Amino acid sequence: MVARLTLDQVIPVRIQARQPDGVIKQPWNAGYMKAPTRIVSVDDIDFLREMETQDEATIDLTQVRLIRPVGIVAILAAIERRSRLSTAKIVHFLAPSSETVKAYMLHTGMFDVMREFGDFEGLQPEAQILDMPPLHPMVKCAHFTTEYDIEQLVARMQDEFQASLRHYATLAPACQLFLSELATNVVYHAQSNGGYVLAQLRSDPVSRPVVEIAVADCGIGIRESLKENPDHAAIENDGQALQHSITEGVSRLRDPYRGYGFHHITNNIKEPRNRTMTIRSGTSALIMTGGVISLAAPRAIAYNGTLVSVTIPC
Amino acid sequence: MLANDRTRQAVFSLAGISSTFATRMKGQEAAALLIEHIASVRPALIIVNWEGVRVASPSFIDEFIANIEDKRVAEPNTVVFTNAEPEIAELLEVITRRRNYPALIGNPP
Repeated sequence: MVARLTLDQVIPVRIQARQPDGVIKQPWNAGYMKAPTRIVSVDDIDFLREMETQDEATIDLTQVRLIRPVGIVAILAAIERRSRLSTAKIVHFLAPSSETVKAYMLHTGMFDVMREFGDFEGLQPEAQILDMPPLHPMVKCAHFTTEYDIEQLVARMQDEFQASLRHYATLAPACQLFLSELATNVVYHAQSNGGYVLAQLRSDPVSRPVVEIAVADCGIGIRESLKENPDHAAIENDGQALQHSITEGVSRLRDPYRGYGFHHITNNIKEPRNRTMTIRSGTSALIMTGGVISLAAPRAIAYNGTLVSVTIPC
Repeated sequence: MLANDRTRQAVFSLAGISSTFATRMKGQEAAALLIEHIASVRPALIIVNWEGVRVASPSFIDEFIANIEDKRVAEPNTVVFTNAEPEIAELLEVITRRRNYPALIGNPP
């Protein structure tokens, strides 16, 4: 069961689809966010920056040729963040012009989640799924707000592993760990209206299959969350907060038995060493590949919330 | 979910609740059920059977142990965690050690 936004939070989300003559209507408002051609990492979401400052906003995905789960959940979290602003009115959504990308987004269930935000016009999902990309959604795009939702998502993933993903059953414990702990962090610490998740198995003829799990929220971010614990009040920047967050026993809560969620996750990223986790919160991003941890150079634009992406080669 | 015999041994089978346990909420629920069932039995040995449990997150395990620890379920009783999948048994080892919880972990011979 996914909770709906209350009435005063609802905003119309309109898909402005391609017109019959093939021309995309240009938006008239100033909050125009044009997505890059590839949205495949936490570094590619800076285009969402205008979401908070305009009465009306447009997310233009027309030029997108490749989008990964991290991009899908980041867009959903950004729309929700806007829906919480009192001045928010309309988000116009320009669907990708690429039929393949549009089919992919439909297949992930992204548009079903977007319907929670309000009116949704201009796209006929049933008519669009023509050329399906080589992927298998393990958990379709979902909005979760409670632990009950998380239990359902994990059970759904377990069903997929038992039904159509038996060949990859050895990955199930790790995938379920990532999903449950990342989503639990959102519910307990983000101070948001839950978060968004998408997990998929992607395979194509030229590379080995890979599991991708992405979780996003539009909450207070890791730095502000940790600073609620007096022990971590001296944290100076987002990068320092991200490094603290994966340290054993570090938590928003002053409880000696808390702060192990990310620790368990990082242990499962370290071995096997080909797994990768990226965390973006505020202006910083932490990248963990196997046992190697690095901090990306601070971005000029802050991501308001937390965005985590995990990749697991099969 | 629970079976008793004359030696005052209680077997609590988690699979009777679910095969997946992902959250602290579920940890509280499972511990509450365990405590409710042993309240009238007062067994000397409590066997928590994990057979059939496919998913048990660290958050679930930590909350489950924290709650049965809080109710002093193991005093003066003995708690045994048995038949856990290898990944779950590993988490049980880590979390019981962290909490210094006196449970035995292993499978029947």
